[in-house]
Amino acid sequence: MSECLNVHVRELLPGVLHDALSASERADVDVHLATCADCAAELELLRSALAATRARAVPRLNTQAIVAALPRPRRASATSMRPSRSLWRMAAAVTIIALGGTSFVVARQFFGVVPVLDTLAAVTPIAPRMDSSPVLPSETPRRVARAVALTADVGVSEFKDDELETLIGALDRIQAAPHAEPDSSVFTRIVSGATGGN
Amino acid sequence: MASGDRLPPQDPSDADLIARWEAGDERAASLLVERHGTPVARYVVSLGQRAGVEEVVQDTFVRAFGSLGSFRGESSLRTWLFTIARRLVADRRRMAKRQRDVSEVQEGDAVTTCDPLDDLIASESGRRMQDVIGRLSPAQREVFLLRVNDGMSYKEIAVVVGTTEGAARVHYHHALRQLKESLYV
Repeated sequence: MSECLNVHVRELLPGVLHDALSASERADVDVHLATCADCAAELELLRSALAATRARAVPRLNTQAIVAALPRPRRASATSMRPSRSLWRMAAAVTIIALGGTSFVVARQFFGVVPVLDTLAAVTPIAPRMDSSPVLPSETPRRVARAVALTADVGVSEFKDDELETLIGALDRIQAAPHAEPDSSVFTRIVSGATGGN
Repeated sequence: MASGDRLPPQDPSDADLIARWEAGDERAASLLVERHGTPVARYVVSLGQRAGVEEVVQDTFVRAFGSLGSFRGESSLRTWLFTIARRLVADRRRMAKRQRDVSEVQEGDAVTTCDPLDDLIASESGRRMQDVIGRLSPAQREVFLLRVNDGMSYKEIAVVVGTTEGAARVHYHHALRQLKESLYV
């Protein structure tokens, strides 16, 4: 059995078995097969091969069992309605920050706790600073230093004179409350005691 | 891809059935399994797998449906299923080889002899044909059967087998020539 040189038609022959050719391809094949014994024989060989392999025993499949074992699709609509975990995390972070900030402001208003700047203003000379925070001379009265400390993050310049006076007066009244911080003289005594001096 | 299991044109396409399945239509999955299950089983048998064919077919569908999101539709669903089935058969062979139940079986090997008890061939010519096909090299046999049994193009065969279109074409024509020489000379 020889082989035809019409490669185009020979490549289409398996498609004949599966009725997979377009109308024009099928017409080309039919015209060629009418005159080419080699291609007609090759098509018969392919048909025999298909029949022989199709006759081979293939186990009957249980479609329902296969379908039952399939992983179920995730519903996109259901998941998109649910807030994501990162959204919950973000909301929690915002809440914590808001609560923390509120607590700090309330504590500052009611207990007069002024961190760091109050003590520093009282015991150390203030060096020139490069940032925009207010700079006070070392002889600044304690109550003014405290007022500036409280308003440092707002900016003193944003207050008018009468507003500043009112604020300082209010702070002086708070001053009457017991002070939470150690007196600077106590600190000096502790330090000199530790170093052996008097 | 053409197929002997070709469906009437009014039947829904694979893409339609996948969309229906993802929308919750169980019947769509049944139609897909009915459409492609037997061709996949036949392919698995052609690879020489005799035991556990149903399991391989089921695992193939489970894997495929588990990653339908990654199925980009560049190849046909059947090509994709065949690719998965082939990998599963290779995995089983590796496992079997490790367990020493099977020796000297390489990936891509298929049966080299036909079992007349398993294969009920009606005619003498059919038996002879199957014997000749069984004597092809594993690569030739696999490509030839994908082309003749399943009507795959060389491009699809290359995807399933993991080779090039040119190599698939060469394997097919060598197989065809060998069949002609064995049957007609």
